Amino acid sequence: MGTIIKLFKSRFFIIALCTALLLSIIPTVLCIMGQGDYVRSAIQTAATPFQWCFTKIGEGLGGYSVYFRSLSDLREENEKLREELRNSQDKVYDAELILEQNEYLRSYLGVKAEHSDFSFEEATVIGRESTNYRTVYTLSRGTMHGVEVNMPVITEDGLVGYVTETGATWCRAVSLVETASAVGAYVERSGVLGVVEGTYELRFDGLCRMIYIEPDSDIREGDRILTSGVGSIYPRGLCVGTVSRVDADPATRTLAATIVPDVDFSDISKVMIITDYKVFTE
Amino acid sequence: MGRIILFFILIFGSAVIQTSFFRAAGIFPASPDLLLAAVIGIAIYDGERSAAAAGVAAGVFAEALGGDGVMLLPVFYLLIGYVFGIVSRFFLKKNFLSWLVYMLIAANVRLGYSFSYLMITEPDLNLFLAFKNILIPEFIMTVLFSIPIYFFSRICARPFHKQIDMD
Repeated sequence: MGTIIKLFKSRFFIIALCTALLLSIIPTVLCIMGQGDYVRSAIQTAATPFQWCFTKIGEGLGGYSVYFRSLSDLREENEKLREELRNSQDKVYDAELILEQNEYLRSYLGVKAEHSDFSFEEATVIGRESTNYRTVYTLSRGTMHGVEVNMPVITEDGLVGYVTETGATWCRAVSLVETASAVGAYVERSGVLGVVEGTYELRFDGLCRMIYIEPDSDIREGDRILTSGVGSIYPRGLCVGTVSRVDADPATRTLAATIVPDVDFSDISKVMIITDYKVFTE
Repeated sequence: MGRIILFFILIFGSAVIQTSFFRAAGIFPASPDLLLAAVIGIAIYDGERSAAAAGVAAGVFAEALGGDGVMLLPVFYLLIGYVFGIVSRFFLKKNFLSWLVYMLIAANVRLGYSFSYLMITEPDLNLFLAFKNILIPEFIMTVLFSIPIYFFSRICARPFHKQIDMD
């Protein structure tokens, strides 16, 4: 213990302590007096380039760490934006559905206004033929809704076909491009009569044919074809399609016209089943 | 002479890093007192006289590079260096664990110094906030970042002491 006390009484310690006190007191007094501390200033000047270097390194590290710190913020923000995007997409989807429904209802109203004598049952296409025959549809209305076999099926664009089979809550409709289908029709411009039927060759192109047209009939490309009301299925005046080509049929010595249906059979989602109409034929 | 240059670099470098790097990075809760670690390292491996001189230099550098004009640190570091130099000569071995014990004690002394400084300079000091935001972070940072400084000080002292305890 005596040795330790002796060390604190040593000349070195006393000189060092005095130096430290002087280095503490003199700059402090100078600072209080408002005088510049030259030692301090010199040290600061010498250290400035080194401090600059380490400051830059520190800032670099800080910037790098901010990237990682902000990563969690970005993740959170990203999640929020994703959620907002999902909500917006849902809204857009809903709006699109409403728009589609609105357009359909407008068309429906148009058709209803045009054919005020018709009774309609609105239906949705819930299925299609399981084979590659794309022109037979399963619809969402059946006998419960008053749907019966041989009822015409239309869209706002024109004639689709007719009901061939019914269930309680569903029915199946065959399109006019099917081979089993035949529709009494006439040319709107000239009144020329004929029969529109599906053919195997044209069916896959979504086309059909008008046959039994008198050889000297006035029919040409671009003519609109409407149902004539002949037969027991279709009422008069439904749009069938447009003539795209007229050929002579050597077998029957009549003319045959290729018809482009007004309805795009590959893109039908909603239809109207005509459950009742007033019979009127030419 | 070589020893003086090495210790000068150690003290000067610690002061520069302490006053620039940690503040600029902005990711550390407080700036550590690296000079404390350097002075204690010198005290253990080169004795109380070198540590006392290094302490005075450390205080001057610390005040010059980051002080506010009122210089008390030269005395503080001088006492730390001299006292721990004497303690290490008579008591614990010269190894990392001894240094760690000294460092923890010195960090507490430093905490007391900072606390006193705050009490004097801040009349409306909120003790809870002072400990939470300044004193405890400074204590932890000082202990943590003093470890590399310890190894630097050991490397600096090694060429001049063949019998440094390697335990």
